[in-house]
Amino acid sequence: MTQRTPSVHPLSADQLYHACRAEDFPFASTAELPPGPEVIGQERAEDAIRFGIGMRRKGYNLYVVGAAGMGRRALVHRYLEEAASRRPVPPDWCYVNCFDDETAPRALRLPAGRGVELRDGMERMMDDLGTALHAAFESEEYQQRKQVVQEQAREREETALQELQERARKESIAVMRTPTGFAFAPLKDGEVLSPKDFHAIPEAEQQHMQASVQQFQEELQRILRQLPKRMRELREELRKLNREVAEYAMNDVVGQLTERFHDVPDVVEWIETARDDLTTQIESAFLDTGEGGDGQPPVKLSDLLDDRRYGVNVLVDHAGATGAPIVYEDNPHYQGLVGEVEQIAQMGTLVTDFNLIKSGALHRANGGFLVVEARKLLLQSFAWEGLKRAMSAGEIRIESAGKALGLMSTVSLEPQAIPLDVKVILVGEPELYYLLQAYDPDFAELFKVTADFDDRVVRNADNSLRFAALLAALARREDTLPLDAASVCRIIEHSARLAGDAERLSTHLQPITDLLREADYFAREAESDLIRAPHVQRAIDAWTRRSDRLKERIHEEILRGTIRVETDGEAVGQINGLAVLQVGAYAFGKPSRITARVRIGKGDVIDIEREVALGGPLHSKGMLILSGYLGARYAVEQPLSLSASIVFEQSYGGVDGDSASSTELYALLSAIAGVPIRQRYAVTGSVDQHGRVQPIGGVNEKIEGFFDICSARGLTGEQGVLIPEANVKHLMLRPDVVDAVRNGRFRVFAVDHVDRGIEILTGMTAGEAEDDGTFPEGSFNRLVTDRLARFTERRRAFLRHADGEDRHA
Amino acid sequence: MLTGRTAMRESPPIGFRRIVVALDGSGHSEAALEAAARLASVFDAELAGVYVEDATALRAAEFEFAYEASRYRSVLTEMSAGSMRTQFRVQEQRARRAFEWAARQHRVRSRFDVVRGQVADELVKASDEADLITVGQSGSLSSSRHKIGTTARMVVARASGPVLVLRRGLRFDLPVVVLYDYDAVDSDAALDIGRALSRQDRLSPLVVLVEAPSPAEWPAYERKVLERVGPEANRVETEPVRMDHTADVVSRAHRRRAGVLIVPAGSRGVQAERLSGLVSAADMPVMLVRGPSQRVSQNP
Repeated sequence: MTQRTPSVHPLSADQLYHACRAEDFPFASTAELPPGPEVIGQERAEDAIRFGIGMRRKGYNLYVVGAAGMGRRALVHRYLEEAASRRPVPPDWCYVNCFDDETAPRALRLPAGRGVELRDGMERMMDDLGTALHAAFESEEYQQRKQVVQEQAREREETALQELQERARKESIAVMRTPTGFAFAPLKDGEVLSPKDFHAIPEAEQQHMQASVQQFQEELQRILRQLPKRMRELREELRKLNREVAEYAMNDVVGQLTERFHDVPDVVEWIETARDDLTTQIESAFLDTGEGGDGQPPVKLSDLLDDRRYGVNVLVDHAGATGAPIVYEDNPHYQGLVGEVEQIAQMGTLVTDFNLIKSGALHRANGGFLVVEARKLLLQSFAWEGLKRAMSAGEIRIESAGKALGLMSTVSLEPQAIPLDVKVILVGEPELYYLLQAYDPDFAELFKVTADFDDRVVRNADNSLRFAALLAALARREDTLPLDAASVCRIIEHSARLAGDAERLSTHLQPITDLLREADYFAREAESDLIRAPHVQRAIDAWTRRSDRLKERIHEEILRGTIRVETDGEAVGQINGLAVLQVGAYAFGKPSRITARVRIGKGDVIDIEREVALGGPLHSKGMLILSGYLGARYAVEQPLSLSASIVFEQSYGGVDGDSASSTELYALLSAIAGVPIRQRYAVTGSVDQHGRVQPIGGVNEKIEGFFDICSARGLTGEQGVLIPEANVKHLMLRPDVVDAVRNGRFRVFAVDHVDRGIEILTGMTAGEAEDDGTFPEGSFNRLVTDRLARFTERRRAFLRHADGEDRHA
Repeated sequence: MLTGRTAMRESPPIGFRRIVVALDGSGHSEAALEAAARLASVFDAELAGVYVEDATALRAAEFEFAYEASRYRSVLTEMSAGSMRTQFRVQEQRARRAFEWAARQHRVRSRFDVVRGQVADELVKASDEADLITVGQSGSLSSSRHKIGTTARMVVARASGPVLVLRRGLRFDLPVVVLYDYDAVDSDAALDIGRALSRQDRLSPLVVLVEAPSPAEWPAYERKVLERVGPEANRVETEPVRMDHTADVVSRAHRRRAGVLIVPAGSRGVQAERLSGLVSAADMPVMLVRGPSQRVSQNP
């Protein structure tokens, strides 16, 4: 067994942290920078947004994909403002009464700003009409003309009746009222005869009188039969009179308004309809025939001049607007989008009319842009369906959600639909986007343009400068102190750390903005006039401090020995693995002891985690890969006659991911070879079937997790972490780790193959296979193959022996 | 507005102790009933409803050749004494129900009498025992709304006391407009009734229409009226009128939005043959005041 220095050298301190250099920046403070756009590196998304906004065809609506806090809204807003200012102001929309069918209010389209003018004009007109009509209908002239009409009709009727009465009296016949009509009776000396007296008069006279009575009765009935017809004629005449008077009184007033709107034919037409309706109302209202019996309370003119009936409900008012509207609907519920018909309780029932129609976001955004957050939209019942229906139909139809779904059919209003021309911009997380794409066939039809926000950008000089400009803009928006170049550097470094990649910057602005505000707090506390790097560092530390309770607890238990993690000495079949735990936005590394045991068997590698269903599929996959590597590397020509078990010790939750597969492989190989592993190292990295070590996530947290434990126990300079070589570019380690490495008190190794790892972990040469497949004597791998060969031999002997016994039996 | 008992207690001991209302179940008579009940409440008077079964009609129904002509039927209907009595009973019950309801509503003492005879005769007879009779103005053959009916006309002509005539749809109310005619003996009584009525609401003026022979004499005539009114003169508004010109009287009363027009009998404006014209044209409750001055207290 030869010991030698490992052929792999630890990484230098500079490789552990890609620092940003303040002197590369051409400014001392962000106050000197012009505020840049509040977004960086989203060229793809920007192109898409520009295209989506510019493309004015049906279905070319925009879905902006990206996580929250990436400046999606700000970017969209910038382009929208630009586009909106170039577009014309859309028309105003009003709902007015449809006099033919009051359940279907009519939509009127007016040039921007003129809706209110129409409403006020109508109000004024109704006032003026009130005055004019009152004057007309209360004038002596009207009253007289009406009386003349009534008198003429009455005279016609009365003449007939009086003439009849007169003739009856002459023939000694009396006319009298009965409770239900009129009757005739023979008269003598002004008194009605009793039947007895009647029979006393001569027979001939009796007969004559009887004949007269009968004749008069029939005549009267004939006259009375004419009454309804005469009444109708009278009403018709009164109606004509009323119409003439009303029209005359109204013409001038109505004319003034129609003149003002002569350029909007629809409006003129509606005003004229309203005038005709009012005329009809008035002509039927004052049909006082001068007769008792209509039994109706007199109608008041003021009741007819009903503001609600002749009002104008200005649904969308663009008075004073410049350009097309941009509407952000923060609460996109169904009614909030398509509008609703409100109701008011009146005497215990719910009533409504067109005045109670309320606009929705679609109305306000019509002719412009509507920006809605996809998640909020989808959380609201029926809102998504409602929006889609309006977009597909190209019109806004206000109906209750219940009605739209066919659940209810109460009598309500059905306002005329308003044509819809709106660009809808949905802003949402990628998950929702993929779900909608997969499950909603309408989605692709309606949202043809996708603006996909990248969550990271390349970290180069250009982008760093842009990042600085972005910080300048944020500082201005958030009203924080300006930042000096060093603090900008620190934030850029932090952003790279957030991206988990030294060569990338995170485009998530939310944590950056938070950091800026918090650094500002500490800067102001320190009475600084600039945010400086220490303030930023303090804010990061404070945030970490606020978040790391769980990490501290776990590390504490490790240090107290409750959770066993060794950081010195050597052990066979035991190695330190590294896991990452995430608590909210905070992630940290947790060292974990992994052990492997072997015995003679038939080639099984038992993953205890999987056996108890604590291992996820990726973990299992990693295990199977390492089994594959084991067999192919060490037991090509013979059966793998071992049985091994591998486990994450003291792990009580689930384990997933394959980032420990190389670690597990080291533990297993150590157990097979019987060579102890140095416990001062911790290892991360996945492995492929050829033994190549592949990159993993959370490399920084993992290193720091082990460093914290070692540091607490005392750094020896020997301790360190093995990471995959491909992860070196991701390193953005904490300053204390970098310092420890710089001072030779901690080490980080990058390995590309398990053989390199073995050498570091055991101090032995791994050994390359000769042409015949054997490994050099004294190499680690030779120990592995030898042990496996022994297992095979013993197993064969055992099986032979057992076979013999069987035969004896 | 007439306000009822509270106001009544404050009012001086002027007014009506018994008010008769002629009832026939028609809308017009209901208007009369409502006015009578309100007045009874204001003056704490007894409300006496009278329903007259028309003996003439009953007699006419006994003829075997008697048929009834009706506005609401296209053919003649056979009549009999029995059917006529049933008709009267039904009508009387309607009238009685309306009467009792009104009496309860206004919380007045009441009695309801059914008599048989000539309608006008019986009503005049009933008015003799009362301080005021209110009648609905219908009853004309043509049933015209404006024209005063035969019965009302006869009651107006023959009643010995004040008569209040209304038709359906009119409401007896304030302000009071009084026609004051120096030549009519009942003018002072009319003015006193007007004062008593308008006292129910201190904000309501008492409008007095007076005729002066010439504009120069107007101040003197006006002063006489105000003197007559005494301490309440500040509420009186006077206005010149052409007494013999019905249209002038009516249009002035209209302009004042009169709730009742009080005219003295024997005035030139309301001589018998023109009375029906005035009532028809007025289109508001009209009270004709006539009779012994002791009916109305002279000293409020």
